[in-house]
Amino acid sequence: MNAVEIRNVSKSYKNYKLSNVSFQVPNGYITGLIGPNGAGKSTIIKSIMGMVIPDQGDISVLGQPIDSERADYKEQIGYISDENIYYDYLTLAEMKKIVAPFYSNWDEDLYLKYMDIFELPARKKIKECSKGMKTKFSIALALSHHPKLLIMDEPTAGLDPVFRRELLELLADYILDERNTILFSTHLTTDLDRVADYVTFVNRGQLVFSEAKDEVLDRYLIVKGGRELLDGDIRKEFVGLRETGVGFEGLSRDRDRVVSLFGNDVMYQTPTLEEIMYYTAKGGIKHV
Amino acid sequence: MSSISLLMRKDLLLLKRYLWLIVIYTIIFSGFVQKDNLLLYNFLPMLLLILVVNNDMQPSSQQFLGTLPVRRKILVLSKYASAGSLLIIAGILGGLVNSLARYYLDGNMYFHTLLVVGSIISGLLFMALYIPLFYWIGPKGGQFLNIVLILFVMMGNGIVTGILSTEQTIIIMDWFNNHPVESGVICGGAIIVAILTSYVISTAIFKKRDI
Repeated sequence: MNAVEIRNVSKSYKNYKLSNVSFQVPNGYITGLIGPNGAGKSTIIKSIMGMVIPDQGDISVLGQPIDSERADYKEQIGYISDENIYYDYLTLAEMKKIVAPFYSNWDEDLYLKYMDIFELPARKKIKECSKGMKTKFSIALALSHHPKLLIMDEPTAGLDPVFRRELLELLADYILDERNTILFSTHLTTDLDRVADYVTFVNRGQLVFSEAKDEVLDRYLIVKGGRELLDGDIRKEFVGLRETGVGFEGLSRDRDRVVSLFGNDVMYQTPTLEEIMYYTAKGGIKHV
Repeated sequence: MSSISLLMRKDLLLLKRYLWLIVIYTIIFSGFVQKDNLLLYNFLPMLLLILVVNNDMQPSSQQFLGTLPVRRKILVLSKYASAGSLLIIAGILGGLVNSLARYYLDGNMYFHTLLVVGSIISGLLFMALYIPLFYWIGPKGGQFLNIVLILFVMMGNGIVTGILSTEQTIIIMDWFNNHPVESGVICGGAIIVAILTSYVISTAIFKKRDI
């Protein structure tokens, strides 16, 4: 079963279009939603949360089809935004007092445990909290009603490396319960290198791929070699290519094909998600 | 508690920070300054209407509401419920403060029912106009809408004072006073139709809006 199913979702804005995107978020795993800024990650996440109404397409969450008039499924979702969405003139305790009664599974002890672990001062106003504290508070609120699906929109942006690592450990704990699922949107792909099981990559409003992270890393390959090896046909083999005075570095999405083309004449390297994202986003031929 | 009650509770909690403003405003424009001051009767309910609706004016606040397990039409309905009940409370509160001021100054404690009812009716009718406009213009145009609203109420205040003192209006008011059942049905019916229409329009707008 899939925690989220997105089928042929499109959404047009003045200067941007999400085109016919389809993918699934498998139940019980961490799925990373990656792409450069403006790729469409937040539009997808907001569509799942019912905040954005797609022009076309269908979305199911935890087995239920959703539309703008359904909201009961959000009882099962913990949502963490990249920005503060709470009333910042309230204290953390006052904000909790507003949020908690909306969830029938609210666990006050768990909430207090997270407040304690994160060392959050309940009487402090949200606007006086640092970015890290606000994110921690969002996490505490999101996890305290035992959600089956945790949706995070760029949660690690602007956080220090220590807390980023702590957050990833927290996610690893949460996902130990096989009924739980995480959808994690980010452009900081190093976070996903550590924890993601599946990766969905969107670029310029279009889906590039959505599959198991290991399969992606097995399929893509970086090739480094001399410029004399390049001609028009060879260049077309690469998703993205970077040429320097002495050589080239290119990303191929077909490992077997480039190995058969170049044999032992070049160096090969398994790309990181960041490199896949970089070359795909930049595309074409870049001269350095 | 139902979702509507929880959202109304949220609106009350958010209003707490404006409590001092409401108290100061009520005292300044109560009968201690001028008896039966229309700025108290008309403006206090409007002030509360603006404050309640604007609690969720920021795009981030709308996003927060979007994360809650509450249907959009309930979010809209709760705004009407919060604003409507506070309008009524503010109208009655204005009347009570004015009575106390009269008692303090003249020793005569008179509750001006007609003004209180009038302010509540005009407030509810105004709410029926304001909330759909708010949803239509959206958070970005909300500030502009509020400025227009304040100007409208201030100008309207003068106009209402003028209208109330004309001979024809006095005759109509007398009729309302002498026919409480008929006037109650007419006013009540008009308010219900206006608010229902307004709610349907607001829901239709908000259901299609990206937040």
